[in-house]
Amino acid sequence: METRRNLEAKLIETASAKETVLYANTAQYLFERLKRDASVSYVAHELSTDEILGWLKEKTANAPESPQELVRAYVFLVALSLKDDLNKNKDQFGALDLKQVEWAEQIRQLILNERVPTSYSSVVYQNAGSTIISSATTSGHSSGIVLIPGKDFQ
Amino acid sequence: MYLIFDAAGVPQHTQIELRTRLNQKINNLQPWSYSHFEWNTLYDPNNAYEKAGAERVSEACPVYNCHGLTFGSRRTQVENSEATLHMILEDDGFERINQGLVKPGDVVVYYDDGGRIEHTGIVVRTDDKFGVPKIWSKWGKGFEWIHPVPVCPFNSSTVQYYRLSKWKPEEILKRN
Repeated sequence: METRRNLEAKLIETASAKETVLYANTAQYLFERLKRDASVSYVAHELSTDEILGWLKEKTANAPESPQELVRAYVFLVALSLKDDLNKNKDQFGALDLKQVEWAEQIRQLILNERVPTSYSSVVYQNAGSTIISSATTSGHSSGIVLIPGKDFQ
Repeated sequence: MYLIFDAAGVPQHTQIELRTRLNQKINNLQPWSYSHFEWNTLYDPNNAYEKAGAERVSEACPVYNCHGLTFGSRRTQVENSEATLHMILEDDGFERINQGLVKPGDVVVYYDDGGRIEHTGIVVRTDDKFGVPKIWSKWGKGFEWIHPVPVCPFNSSTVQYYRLSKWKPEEILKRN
């Protein structure tokens, strides 16, 4: 499957992304470094979550034929960590067969672990005799509180 | 020794028997994927580390990693897990030392921000005028380098040095 848009290879296989793959000792190292790489931002920006998942499904079915293909696989995989809507595609993501790519399974777990709700906030708002309780969970790097519009808090 | 190839002609990963001084098995893996030429294609000739004083001393090779160089004589990739690496350090008789006492032959361990071991290497020089040890280490599937401690792609803000100082069996076994 080709992606809808023509991505520029040089923006995916950046020198820094290639270097990261070449020097990586662990999945953690690879994940943390690639997440900050321009190549990953580029793919995450240019492609939808569906497109990235589709690409991974096709390209990771077999072992990458070259280190360059390996770099691409990692870049696409890590790009999913920047996608806010990944939770909607969690099943599709979990169903990817990644065993042909050395650290891909571990990276998937790192991405999923980041998506585990990290905070829980309850806002109790009493208004005109009725009580509204709202809760929120967040995932990824951020946490927050849901603010409910209305009258003054009592 | 023989390699097993899959249907596509790709050599499968192998393992060897590798043990600590106290005879505990060291988990390891020998990936044979891609030639060193292919791995070399990932190398950026405009390398910032070389400009900063690191010197490449080998071709790329996926078969062994940094721990394989430091603890396994380049034979294999030693598993990058806390349990395995601490087992090696303890079983082989390493003791932690201060940077001021470092000398060639000591081992340097790099830790990431989470305190996990990220990289290891061997001290080869300590005569730098600023007291910065030079390390011989292998960077992932890439090359072996001789480099000042901080000139590498790993987190050098937290490093610890170890010396193989327990030579007698009773010294090593005393801890158990």
